[in-house]
Amino acid sequence: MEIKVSKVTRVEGHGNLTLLARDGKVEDVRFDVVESLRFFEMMLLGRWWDRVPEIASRICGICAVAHTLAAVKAVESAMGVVPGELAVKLRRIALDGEVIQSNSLHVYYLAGPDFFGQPDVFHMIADHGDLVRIALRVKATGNLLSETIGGRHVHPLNLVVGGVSRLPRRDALAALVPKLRQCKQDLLDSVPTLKSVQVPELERPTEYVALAKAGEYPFYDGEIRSSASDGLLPPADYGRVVHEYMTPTGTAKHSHGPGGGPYMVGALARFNLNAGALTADARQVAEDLGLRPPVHRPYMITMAQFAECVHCVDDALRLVGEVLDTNFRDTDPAGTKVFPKAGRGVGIVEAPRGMLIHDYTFDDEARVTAANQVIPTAQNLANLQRDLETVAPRIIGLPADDVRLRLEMLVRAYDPCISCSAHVLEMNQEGR
Amino acid sequence: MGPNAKPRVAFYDFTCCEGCQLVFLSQEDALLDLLSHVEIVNFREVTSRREEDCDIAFIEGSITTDEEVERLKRIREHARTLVAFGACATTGGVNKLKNRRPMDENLRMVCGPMERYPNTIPTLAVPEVVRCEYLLHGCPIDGGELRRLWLALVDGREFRQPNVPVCYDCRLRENVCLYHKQIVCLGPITRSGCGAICPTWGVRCDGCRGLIDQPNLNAEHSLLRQYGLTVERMIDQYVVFQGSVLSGEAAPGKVSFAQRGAD
Repeated sequence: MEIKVSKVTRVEGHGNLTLLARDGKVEDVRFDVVESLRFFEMMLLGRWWDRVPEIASRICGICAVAHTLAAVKAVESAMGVVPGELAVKLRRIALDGEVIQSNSLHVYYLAGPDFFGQPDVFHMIADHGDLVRIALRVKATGNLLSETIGGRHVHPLNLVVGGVSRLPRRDALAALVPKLRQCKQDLLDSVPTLKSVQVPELERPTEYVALAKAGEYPFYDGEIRSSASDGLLPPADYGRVVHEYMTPTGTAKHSHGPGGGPYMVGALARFNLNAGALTADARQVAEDLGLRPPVHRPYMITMAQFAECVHCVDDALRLVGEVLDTNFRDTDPAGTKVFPKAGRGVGIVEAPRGMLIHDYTFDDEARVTAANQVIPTAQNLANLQRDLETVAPRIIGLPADDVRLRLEMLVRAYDPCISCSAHVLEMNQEGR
Repeated sequence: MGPNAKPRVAFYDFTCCEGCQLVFLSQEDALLDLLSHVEIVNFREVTSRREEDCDIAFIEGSITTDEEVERLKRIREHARTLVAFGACATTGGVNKLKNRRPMDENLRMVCGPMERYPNTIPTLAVPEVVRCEYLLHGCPIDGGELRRLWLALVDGREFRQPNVPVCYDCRLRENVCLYHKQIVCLGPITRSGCGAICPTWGVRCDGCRGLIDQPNLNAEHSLLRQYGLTVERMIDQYVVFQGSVLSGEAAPGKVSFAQRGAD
């Protein structure tokens, strides 16, 4: 049997899936990233500090808020800038919005159609119209959060070094509350449908890596935790967790973790490490969907993403309430002044697909001399590969179409963001 | 296409962040209506359906490998109408930044030592490779403009892109000019249609929609100089989205930065 899927559909970016088998034995199974290289490190070299976030945002349209914030935080760390409390709350709301948007895009649009045997979400309108309308509303609410705070959700404008460029209008913030309540109801209404779908079986314990912070289910900040070791690592020491290497067949780096083998980042890793800090409703939804930590079933990533949507809606509701209780006018200054200088800074956030690290070094003119970005999907590739190798021999007896679908579903479960992973490779080069 | 048939629409992505197709998918309140007028026959990110022949092909992203050049030409042969959408497609966008260095240096520095490097060519915008009927500018595109183009295509009406600078939109929104806040901006020479979204949020225009047809570059440059920018800083203003202006590739009049007032 030979299965070749060139450019797997319903994933972000370009990746090929290959399986070769003879006499019922799997000889080769792989997922290769074949996205064209974009050379972001070269684009950034020599740029002044204030250009970095806007260029870095262009790495990915789906997780643009996460990339912008990781870059902003890296620059702030290098320049010794501390943003104000209000600005940080607003950034958190924008990031909650992005997680809702990106996770729901994956659950309903990308992974969802497989559960209903349809080629895409639009073909689900006939039989599952209510679910499709819910999907549209949930994703729109995520967009609206990022848009209200960031100006727009693809390549946000307002998240700048020092804070935010402009404070949002109070009435725009207040308008988010009913939208978020509706979104919460929509999510809860989807639970029975999600409970009824058949998720393929595959259980393989691995190492999980995510940000951790006492009492929080962190997205915006925290320290690095791995399920394979005790204690927390500060962001600047990410090199002790992430060991990247190139493969001969793809254009993205792969990663080994501190345990020496592949590791997983993203919704399921976060859930396994931080489930106790989910909001009560999100915890309940997770349990209803069959998630009890630790979960070693990669096909369940989709369900963990869904539970996170509930959490982020709750979190955003709380934050919007806190911001509205703060005494401010939208014309007040919203940023800390930046005094550009030489230095190195690391910015780290949980992007929807997992831990995202930006690392920049600046010279005396505050221009970039070295740039490195560690992308969630690149960290997951080695783990996905191991899962493919585990599942392929078990299902090889099925008809070819079923094997192909099952493998495609595994790739999709990881929600790979391939544009990101191929566009960014480590580089360290002095000068311009 | 028969009189009652819906136009067959395909979406293709090349080298980019796929944010512009996300802008399309984010037209949630209108999405089902927009889709009801067409048949989607190819859209890798959202559907498993893959067919080649189409009435309208939307092209996202820049052309950065030999394979992409061939793929784009093949798509052109199978499409009646071709729309390049998003800055990566219409002008090359941020991807043109890599053209400022030789490709072998880019590869060596990014990939490190390798036996065989992946293929890469200097970034090309879509209209530099094939004929385009329409360009939808912006990084990312503006959702409202996309809807207007979509409906024009479905109805067979003409669609014209604006040819006035971003300053025009800024006036309509009653924004305080960023220059008054000591923030330099490319609004005076950049094609509008975005509702001046960046200046409205207090952020300078970086010219992601490309130049208006007859930009007054001399005036813009003296304005930048007046605000104390060194030549190097002025170049930096242009470089994110307007690399083509610097290299003399800009469509109108082959303007090069060196010739036109950067001295």
